[in-house]
Amino acid sequence: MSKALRVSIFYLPIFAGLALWELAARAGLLNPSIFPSLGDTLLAFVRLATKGHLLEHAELSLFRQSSGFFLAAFFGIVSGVLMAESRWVRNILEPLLRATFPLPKSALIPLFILWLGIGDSAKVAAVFLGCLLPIVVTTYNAARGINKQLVWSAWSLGTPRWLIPWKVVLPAALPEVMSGLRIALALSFTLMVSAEFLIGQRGLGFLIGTLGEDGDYAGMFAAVLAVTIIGFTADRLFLWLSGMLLSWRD
Amino acid sequence: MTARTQTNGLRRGLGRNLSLVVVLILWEITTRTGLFNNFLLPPLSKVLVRGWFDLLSGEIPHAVLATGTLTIVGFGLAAVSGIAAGALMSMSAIARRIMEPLVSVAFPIPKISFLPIFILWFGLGDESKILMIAFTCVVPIVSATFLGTATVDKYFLWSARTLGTRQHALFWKVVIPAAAPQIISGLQVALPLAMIIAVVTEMLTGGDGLGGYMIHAVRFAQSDKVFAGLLATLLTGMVFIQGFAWLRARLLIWHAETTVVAAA
Repeated sequence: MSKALRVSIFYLPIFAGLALWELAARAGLLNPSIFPSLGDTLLAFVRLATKGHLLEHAELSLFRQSSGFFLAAFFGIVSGVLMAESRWVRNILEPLLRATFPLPKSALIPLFILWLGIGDSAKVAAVFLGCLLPIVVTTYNAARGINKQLVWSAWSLGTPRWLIPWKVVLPAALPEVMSGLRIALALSFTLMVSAEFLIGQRGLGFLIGTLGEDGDYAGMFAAVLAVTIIGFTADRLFLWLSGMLLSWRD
Repeated sequence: MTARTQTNGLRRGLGRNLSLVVVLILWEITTRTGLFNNFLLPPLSKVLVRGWFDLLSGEIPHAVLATGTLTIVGFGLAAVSGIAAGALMSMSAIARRIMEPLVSVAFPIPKISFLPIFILWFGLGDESKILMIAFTCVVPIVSATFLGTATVDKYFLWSARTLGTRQHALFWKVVIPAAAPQIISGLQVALPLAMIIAVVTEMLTGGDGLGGYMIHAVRFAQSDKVFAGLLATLLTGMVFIQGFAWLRARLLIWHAETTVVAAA
């Protein structure tokens, strides 16, 4: 059986669900004023993509989400590894992390509205700080839990001390780091959409809200569909990438 | 003797949290000396006073209660349905075929984007918020329960069967307890999500609760209130997360995991 066929069989229930949605709408089981059919939603999607500004909104949202996420990934991984390797860094960062970690990350959004106003920076900052803490914590735990013999071997083979965290510890901790990043990736989209619902004049979250306020529910469903597709695609790209990054392991 | 142990305990506690204490002191000093704009960063003492007044006036307790109730109800709904669905997936091949792709698609998508649809269908009240929380939390719970119950050690099942355990008793007496650590881990992933979504939905629907408290404070430019709200939200989150960790230790008291921790 080819791979494409296997994948389509796996996702068959999704397609069946979509077909059921269309059939139920055609049979008049759904109230069209609050539950547009799949066909109408797809038509609205095409309309928004061609005549509307769906792509511009999506581009802006992705810019905000990815800036926040990549900044958080970089600083989170670096500080997580340093925490595991240096007692000084650990003594400074651990109490701060322990005190702030239980904060529901969405509570940061009002703070950044206060500090940075309603522009891009407030959203990027909310995504950044929201993703940073989970990435630091998973990286720290992963780096702390690696097999110490790897470090000793590298040490005795003459690896310079400052290189060990990056050449030995991080690669050894990578599988767990990647699964932490995957969770943070999903969170980054949630924070992006939430922040855009609340503030600003552009972005997919804003588009969903404004279409809903105008009563264009097919358009609103289409914009939700766009967010869904983007989140799903980003996750699968991430899985593919982490498969490549981890392919040297057995 | 006791006094000395207490001082030592205090000193150790301070030592372990030194950087936190330094940051809090720096916060107070820099804002008092005007190094930071007092609107953007009000002094810690001002935040605490504001928090204390709102605590006494009942505003913060009311908000904590509202957010806490939303979180517990939404999370509870997700826990019951998620554990049931996950267990069903490991027992029935048809259920697995249908639900596996749903879970795999639902896992990465930002489910909060469905909130306007939920509001359209169920209104601005608590129903939308609770369903939104449940919808977000159910996915990690289903997948953890499925993985946990599908990989139960076969020897447990064989032994129980040999000893005459009936089929449905096998499920409740063997499968669920054996999978409990993984199921509870799934619940521990879902709980912070429940709070994240509770706070967001409160901010968006402008209701009460901690999210509403903070977003009102932003709209009326009361920065000390924003920080007091953040502090209250942080403490609420701490209580939930610590409370659930305590519950885990109680529920799994018979399990090797707990014994190991207790011995360490």
